[in-house]
Amino acid sequence: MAGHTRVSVDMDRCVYTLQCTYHAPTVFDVNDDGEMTYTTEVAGDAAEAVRTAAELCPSQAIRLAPDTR
Amino acid sequence: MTQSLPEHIPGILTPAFESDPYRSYALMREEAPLYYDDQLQAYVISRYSDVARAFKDPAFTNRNYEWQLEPVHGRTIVQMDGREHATKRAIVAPCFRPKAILGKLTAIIEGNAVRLVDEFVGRGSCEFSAEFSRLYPINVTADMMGLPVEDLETFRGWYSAIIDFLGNLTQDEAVTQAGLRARDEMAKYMLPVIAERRRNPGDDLLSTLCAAEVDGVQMSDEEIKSFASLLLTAGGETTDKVLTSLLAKLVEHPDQLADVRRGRSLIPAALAETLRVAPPLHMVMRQTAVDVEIADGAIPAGSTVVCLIASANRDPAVFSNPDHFDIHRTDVDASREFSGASKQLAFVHGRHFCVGSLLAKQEVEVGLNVLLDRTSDIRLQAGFVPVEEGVFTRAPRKLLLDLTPAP
Repeated sequence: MAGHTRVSVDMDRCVYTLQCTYHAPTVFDVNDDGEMTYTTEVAGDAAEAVRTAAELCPSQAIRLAPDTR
Repeated sequence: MTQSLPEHIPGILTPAFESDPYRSYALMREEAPLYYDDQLQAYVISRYSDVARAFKDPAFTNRNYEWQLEPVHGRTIVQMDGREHATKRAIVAPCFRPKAILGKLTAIIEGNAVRLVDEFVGRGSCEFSAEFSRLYPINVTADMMGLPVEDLETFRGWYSAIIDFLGNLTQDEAVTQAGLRARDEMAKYMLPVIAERRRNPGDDLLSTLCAAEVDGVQMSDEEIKSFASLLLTAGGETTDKVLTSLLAKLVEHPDQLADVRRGRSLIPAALAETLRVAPPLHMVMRQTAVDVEIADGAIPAGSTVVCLIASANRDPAVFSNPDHFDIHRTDVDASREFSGASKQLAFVHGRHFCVGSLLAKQEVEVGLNVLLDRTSDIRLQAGFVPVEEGVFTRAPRKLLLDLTPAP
């Protein structure tokens, strides 16, 4: 969909700082097993929050791409 | 069985090490990638792969800072782990994001750089370390916190006392007492300021930290005071040292200085290369939470581990021609070197990646640009050779430069 951003997390880089769960709480979460869960397609305010989270990720593990489908 | 250091390799607390640590690092990586140092009562690792792992593997904790830093700063994010670290880091991190650093802070940073350079440039010479590097990061930090300029002298006194306290490897009692006195005086000064900013917020860093809230959690006045102390000293000394090292490397390589003068977009690459080859912090410590197997040996739980950043940054397994200063090197991508995706380890890796890396980059970039704009030539004073000093933190103590002021 136009205007949407695709989100992925490079789990080889991620060291579970959980910074993304604070900066984009509607997108990133940790489940009861302690595993990272996240929405893979976002838009609007959530996309802005994801950009902040990607900027502030200490291990630069969050990848963003415009959804061009 | 973990070995001790072979006798022909100068160990960390020897004079031979201080005069040339890089020779020791090469021998350690080759012959003793893990050894136990009796004087430091710590295990020492030197290869890139092992140091990088220690920064990412949760088996290596930051509990060492409970005795290294907490006595002088109070409890800060550098020693926290898990949920506490995640929450507190999330509160301070937005103050150091690109939007904040490149926005209103630019004027503060540039103003401070201009004031200092204008003091000496007309004279045609300077001692760059004392007249610029040592003053600039403290001035910027105090300015960011909205502290009055007339208190800067007092701040510098605390800064020196705390830095000496942190580098007090021989446990000199007078240095310890001066450090603790500075801590108490700084707390006495800062706490009422923080309380006042909570009542009457401005647009300074302290006010922002007072108001910041994550998951319903705020920082207490005591925590803000501790963070300010960490920012002033730990953040200040590293920027101070890397600025002097960067200038020293550039004047020692006049062809590369000329490239930077012509193409200012090379400044980040020059800084990244300085951080690699001459990092301000040569080593950091970690503490093992469990028994760890590393570098063909073993470290028991609860041990202190010295991670040799400056050695990892010259590991030939990762960097080609590693002892050579080359701002044009193709095995490093300067645009990534100030983020957690960096290759060199001066900002460490993983969950404790330096929260102030962009502030450091911006201070250096602006500072060097101001200096280059106001000069047409910078060179070492005839007969002067910069000599690096220090073991934990390291840079030339003095840097005597001749300058030709710009027309």
